[in-house]
Amino acid sequence: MSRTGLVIVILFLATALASPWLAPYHPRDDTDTALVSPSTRHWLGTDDVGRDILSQVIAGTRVSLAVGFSAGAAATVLGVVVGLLAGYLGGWWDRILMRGVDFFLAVPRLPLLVVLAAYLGAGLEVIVVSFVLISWAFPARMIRAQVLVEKKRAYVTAAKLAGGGRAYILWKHVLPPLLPLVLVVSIMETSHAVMAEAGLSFLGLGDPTAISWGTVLHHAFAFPALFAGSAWLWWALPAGLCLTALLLGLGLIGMSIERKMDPRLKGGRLAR
Amino acid sequence: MPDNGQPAPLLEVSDLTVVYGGAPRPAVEGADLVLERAGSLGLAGESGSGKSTLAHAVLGLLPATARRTGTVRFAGAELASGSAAYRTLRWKRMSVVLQDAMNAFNPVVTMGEQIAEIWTTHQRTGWREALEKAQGLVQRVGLESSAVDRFPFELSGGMRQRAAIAMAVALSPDLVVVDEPTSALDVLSANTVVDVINAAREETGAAFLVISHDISVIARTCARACVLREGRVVEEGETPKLLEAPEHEVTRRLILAIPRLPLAETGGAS
Amino acid sequence: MIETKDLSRVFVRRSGLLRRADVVRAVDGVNLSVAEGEVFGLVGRSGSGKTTLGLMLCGALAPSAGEVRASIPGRAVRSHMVFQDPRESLNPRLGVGEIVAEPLRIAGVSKAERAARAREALGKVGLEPDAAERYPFELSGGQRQRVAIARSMIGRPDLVVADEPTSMLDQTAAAEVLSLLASLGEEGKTAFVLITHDLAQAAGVCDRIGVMDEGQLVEIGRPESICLDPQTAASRALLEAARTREAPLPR
Repeated sequence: MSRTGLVIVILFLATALASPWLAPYHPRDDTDTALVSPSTRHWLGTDDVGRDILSQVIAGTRVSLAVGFSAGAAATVLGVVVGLLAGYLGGWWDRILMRGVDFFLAVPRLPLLVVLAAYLGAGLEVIVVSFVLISWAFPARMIRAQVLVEKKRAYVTAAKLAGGGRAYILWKHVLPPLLPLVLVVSIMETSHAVMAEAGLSFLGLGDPTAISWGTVLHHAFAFPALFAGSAWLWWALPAGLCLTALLLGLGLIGMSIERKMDPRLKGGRLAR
Repeated sequence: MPDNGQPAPLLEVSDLTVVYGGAPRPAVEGADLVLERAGSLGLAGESGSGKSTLAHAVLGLLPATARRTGTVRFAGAELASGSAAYRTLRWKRMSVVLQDAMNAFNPVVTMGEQIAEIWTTHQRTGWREALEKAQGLVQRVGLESSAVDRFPFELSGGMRQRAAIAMAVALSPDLVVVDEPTSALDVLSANTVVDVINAAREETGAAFLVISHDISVIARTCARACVLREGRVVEEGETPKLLEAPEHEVTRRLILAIPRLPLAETGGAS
Repeated sequence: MIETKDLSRVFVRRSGLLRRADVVRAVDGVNLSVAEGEVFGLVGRSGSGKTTLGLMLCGALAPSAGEVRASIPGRAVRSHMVFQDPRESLNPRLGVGEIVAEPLRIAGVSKAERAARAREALGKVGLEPDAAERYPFELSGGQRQRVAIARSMIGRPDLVVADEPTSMLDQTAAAEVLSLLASLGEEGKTAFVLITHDLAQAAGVCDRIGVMDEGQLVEIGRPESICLDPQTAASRALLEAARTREAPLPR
């Protein structure tokens, strides 16, 4: 498992959890004059209303991670459940569920995300729901493909002959070999969810009352003179870098799991 | 031991020992074997006894992590492991039918094209001529001429195995190594493959090294046989003598392992 | 105990742009019966339908036509199977003990009793009781088939269908597994259907043999009658193949 990736993600998680204590000021307080450059009192300076940027970034970690992780998890769970049902039950279930998958895979995701968020209104729950709607189809397809392979194993037939019911077989024989894939999928979905929230908030479609890296960027870019001086360096860049870093961390973890999945099958315990 | 004036044996292996990287014991230990030109030698033994490893060592197909000691002499010249000489030898002077050959065909290319590749790759023949040769080769192993237009999955295991053997002798090499030619086939197909091996040997005059856990296959294709156990050669000699009077327990086990048909009941009407 | 009437199974493959149906008659109108405790051999070339028939006999596959009548006074017939590929037939993530005891676990037997009966079953198939702690990847092909046999018999089934249990083993391991099946069959408590492409293998072990060719059951009889006086071309071909194979070997 990638150590660098884990360290990065854990650091962000810790920051999110400890954010009320880590932030030097309350993120919404106008503590000072506007657009102060970085100093010992404000490490990242202040924004156009005089709020401390560092506190905003730290507070934003909470929302960005919370929305990202929960939306990613929800999309994964829905995708896995659909994939399992369609793959294992087959027949009409499979056909109906797969038509649903086909539809959601064919629709362009980003435009749909924006339209849904705009239509359903403001709020973090809206972001989560919109994201899950556009994302569940891909995991469903991947999981279904694997389920089709696993359900044909001879030991599954043996369990059926011994009287094993569907739930037992799914739990004991079909799901375990899928777990590495589910893990990789969940990390991928979490990355996408973090990006989706940041994107929507940046566009102003997120929750205006919440503070996330996306909203920080939104406010920064809404300021017309952002690039006139050096304000962008300490206002826009930190939030952007945090996003990049988190996605990098998640990506490294995901890649290292993928790598482990493959050679493990050839040389490890499950070989032969 | 070659006498003066006698040609050197085609293949001479002395004291061959192979240890795979990280393995506690050698896969092959101190093996000696000799194969004359146009001769036939069988390597018999249970699975895991080192037969395939021995063949891979001879062919220069061991993985980079394996260590090989001892000598392999092909037509008098010593072949070191990983030697560049193998590239010139392969397919024109020595060829192999690997254990899973019948499943190693490219599923999206027709049989004819895959067989024709032998000539286009090793002899720079043109495609049309190569395809014609492929057609001829396929018929000689008893397949229909239409087989060249078929995809591998359309042919049975036995047919694909015959095609693989035909491909191995296509360039008339001096030595053909066949690894477990019948292990995934039913008895009828297995017998056909045995016939093809014998016919290929007669037609091309190549020497055959046949590896099999089935001693009846070796009995029908090889004049001499070696029995391996845990990497060592425990018995060897002319096949009929080996079968008639096996000395080692493993040889006896291999012979007894072949199921026998019931004899006619004495005194009963059939 | 088990009787089939006009049993058939077709597989339909739809191919091409117009979805033309390609019908394969894997099993075609088979009538046979297996008595309690009998060892019945089902012999035929690859592709003759033996595996499909075996799956229907133990209830793992539904027929397209005809029926399988399985009856024992008082209760339903319990069947199990031993599969051809030793690598595929055991779940690589589970320990041998767990695999063998699975039928008991499904039936709700207590953990302690499961462990005891698993060890007993392993002993019966010639494996050490501490094999229960091992994992499939540590075992050879022959040992894995023994585990599969132990698993299939632990629930004391009425019928075990062994589908080419030795085809993927080397001859020596195959002979050992076959003699294990023979001795289990001789006990007479469980009926066996041995599916194989090897007539000589079946003849050595079975009470009766059925010869299959292209989905149809073309001949049934005792091993001696089929081997000494075959009535059909398919049987003759199988017999000839076995004779050719053993010709160079001493008796």
